[in-house]
Amino acid sequence: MSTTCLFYLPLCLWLFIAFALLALTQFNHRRACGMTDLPPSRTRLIRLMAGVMLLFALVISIAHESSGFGFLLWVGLLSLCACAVALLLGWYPRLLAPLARLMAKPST
Amino acid sequence: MEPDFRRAMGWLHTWAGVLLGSVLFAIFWMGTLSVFDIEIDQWMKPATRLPPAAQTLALERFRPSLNEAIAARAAFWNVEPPNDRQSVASVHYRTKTGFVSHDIDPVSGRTLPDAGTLGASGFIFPFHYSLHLRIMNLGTWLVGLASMAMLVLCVSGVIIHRKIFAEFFTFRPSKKPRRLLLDLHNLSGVLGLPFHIMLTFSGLVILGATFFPASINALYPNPRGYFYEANGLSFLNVKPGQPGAPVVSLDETFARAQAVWGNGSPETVLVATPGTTTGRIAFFRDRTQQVVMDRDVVAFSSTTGELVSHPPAPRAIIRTQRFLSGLHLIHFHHWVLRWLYFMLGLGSCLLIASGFLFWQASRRTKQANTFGFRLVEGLSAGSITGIMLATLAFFISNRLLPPGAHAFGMGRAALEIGCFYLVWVGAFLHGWLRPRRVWIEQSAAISAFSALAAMLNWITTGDHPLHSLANRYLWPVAGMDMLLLVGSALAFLTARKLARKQPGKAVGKTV
Repeated sequence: MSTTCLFYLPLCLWLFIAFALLALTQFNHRRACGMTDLPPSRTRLIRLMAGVMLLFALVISIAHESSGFGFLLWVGLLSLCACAVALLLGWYPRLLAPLARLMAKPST
Repeated sequence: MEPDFRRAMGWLHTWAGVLLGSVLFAIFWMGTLSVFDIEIDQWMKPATRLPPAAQTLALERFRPSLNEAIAARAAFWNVEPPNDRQSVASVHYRTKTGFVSHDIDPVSGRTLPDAGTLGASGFIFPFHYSLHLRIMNLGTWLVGLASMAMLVLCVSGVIIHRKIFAEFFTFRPSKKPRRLLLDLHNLSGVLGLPFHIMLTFSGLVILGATFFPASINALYPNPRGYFYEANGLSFLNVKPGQPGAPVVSLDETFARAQAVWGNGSPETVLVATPGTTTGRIAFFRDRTQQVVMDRDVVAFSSTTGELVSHPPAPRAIIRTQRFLSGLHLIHFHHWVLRWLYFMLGLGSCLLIASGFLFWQASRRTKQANTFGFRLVEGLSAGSITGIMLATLAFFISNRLLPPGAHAFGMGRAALEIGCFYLVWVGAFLHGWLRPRRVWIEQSAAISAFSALAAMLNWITTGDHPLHSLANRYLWPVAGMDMLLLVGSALAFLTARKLARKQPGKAVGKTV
């Protein structure tokens, strides 16, 4: 149980944030959070950062588990965490508003 | 992309889905349940719900069962010692009259009473890959065809999705039902795409020898030769011996197997043609801590105890095949991954169901009274909610039928399966006879059946969810009951929402 709390849950959160960052670079989802669009350079930077976060999660999974388990875990959690972001944006988009604001902060 | 090409792919996607959606849903539904086959077995066989033994039972304690197999001139006998998914041991052997299987108490070594059920590992799992259509291997071929169709559906689905990246996270619960269904279909399809493709492809690879036998036929005199070589079972390739030969000590032979391995424990001990002069004892090393299903088998002569074979590590191509087999069959013990598979499997079911419902919602206004529409409507109800009801009927009959039940010339296990098919056929008929209310009524029935199954488990065994949760060894039972209760609640909410929206009207508009 402690391993679950110390590794899998933070990993889920990490992937969730990465997907939330990706989603919140899209205008439709930003609007749903009550935010305006991001400048193109910021969008590119955030998407790159989210991509690196996703890849880093793969590295961490493989390092923590074996290569086989780590890869399968990463693939499975990618789907679930992306789904969680989509459902949250569908039902309670305002919950992601703080993150959306944070993404725009330095330029506003 | 060329509009004509996309239109052609759209046509392919629609009709491949409509034609094979029912088979695909059955395969994915049963596959999803098979993720927890051993846990469902424990629910269906209350006598096997035992705390794990503090000490491993010596292999010689299984000798009485082995002697029975020898007396019955069994083709093979094997024992599976307890593991962290299953606290009981099990022995199996095959005689000329049939397959014999017993569960063994891990502490006393006594044979547990026959549960009179095939359970999930004997019914649900084989249904996943054979549909229980054994004539001319028809079920396996149908599964292969549906799997190929699934790959085509995945690729064509990506091609016809106009805004795959723009709508990657799009889910709009407040939109009209038709749009909502398409969102659900896209979401479960796109986000679960790696899982759908990985599992479908690996499933085809596992059954590759059946679907693509040409290369094997070209290299081996018969398929059995390939099977033996690919699985490290070359020790089985011997001429039949004379009966009356002794079988050496299983424990002493196991000690020698451990010396060969360096360490490790067996997940299966097999005695091939026990009691004959060419008999073999094989130890299959436990490989549940890795994805790759590479069999490390050490085989000895059962009469002399002499080492017969220990195949070298497989080549890269076989190892790749075994990685794919391993990731599909979930042979490994990894609870987080097991639950992930289960949830993603449900996602695949959602993908197929939402595709069916979207097809109907798009055509209901114009074609609701046509024969083709009515046919697909009944077919989809029977194959989506119908198979869920049938599965629940299988569980309920397991708890209701008395031990040793016998009726219509069928034993208890066959009666359970009879209930499954009876309810399934009934669900199809219901879908065709009451198209306007079918989804509401079948959702309500799922809710009632699920709650009833959990309740019957409590009444017949005394293991209510709180008791199961409090005892670690009963967690598989608790998990099953919890899922039944959650499923019941969700089905009730669905039925209520459908009934409230447009009472008396066709449901496809209201989903």
